[in-house]
Amino acid sequence: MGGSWLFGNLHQNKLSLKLDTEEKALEGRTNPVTNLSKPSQARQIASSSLVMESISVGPSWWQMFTGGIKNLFGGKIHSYDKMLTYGRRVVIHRLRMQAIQSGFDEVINLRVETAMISKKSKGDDKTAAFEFTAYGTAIRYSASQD
Amino acid sequence: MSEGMHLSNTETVPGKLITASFGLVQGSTVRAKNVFKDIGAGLKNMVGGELKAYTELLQEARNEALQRMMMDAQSRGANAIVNIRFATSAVAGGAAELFAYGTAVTVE
Repeated sequence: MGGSWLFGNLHQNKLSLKLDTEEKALEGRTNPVTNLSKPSQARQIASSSLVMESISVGPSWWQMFTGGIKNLFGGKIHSYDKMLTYGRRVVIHRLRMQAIQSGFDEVINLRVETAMISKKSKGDDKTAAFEFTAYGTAIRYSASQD
Repeated sequence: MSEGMHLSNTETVPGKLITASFGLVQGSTVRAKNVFKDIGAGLKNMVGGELKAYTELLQEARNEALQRMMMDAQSRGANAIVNIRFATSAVAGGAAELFAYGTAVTVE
């Protein structure tokens, strides 16, 4: 349990630092991902396609333990908070990267879904995970300005 | 992904005109966690963070649900699916159902 606390913290901090630097690299560029239902520009559209990204994240044993205790008293469960925020950030970031890499100008109608992947009802399987899926419609505008 | 099929989760295919509608199409698949992947993920769970084995498993499953939905649309003679939504639910312990649905249409 102590190991889970130590290594869990180290590992998760490393992950969020990595995400921070990746997001920093895109700073200053406009974010092409929106949840608008229509394209933001009235230009001609060359092509569009469905794009999606997903990630499964799990809280560490330590986080599940502290979350369990916190749950008795209610209130904000910080350990879960961190995990879920991280998962959602990653998935949106990945979608943005995918759109940029495939040369799309914009992603509209973004939806983010959260699902809990259940533990086995019997046995001491400690695995718990959340899955985030982000999907949207990617758009490439025609090159000609009209 | 099958060629020539326009997919979109907006109400229309951007830049195209819908000429006919074929109603709701859907595709689903139920996947259980693999025992071996489970052990790896269980260990990874100790420190938390991304569980890559599950990410891949669910991505595969979602693609399959999407494929099935597209086959459904193709059999009706549609060339596009609009307003696509995904849903995930945990059925029986350790298994998840991935479900994709949308409206099959023809666009030009």
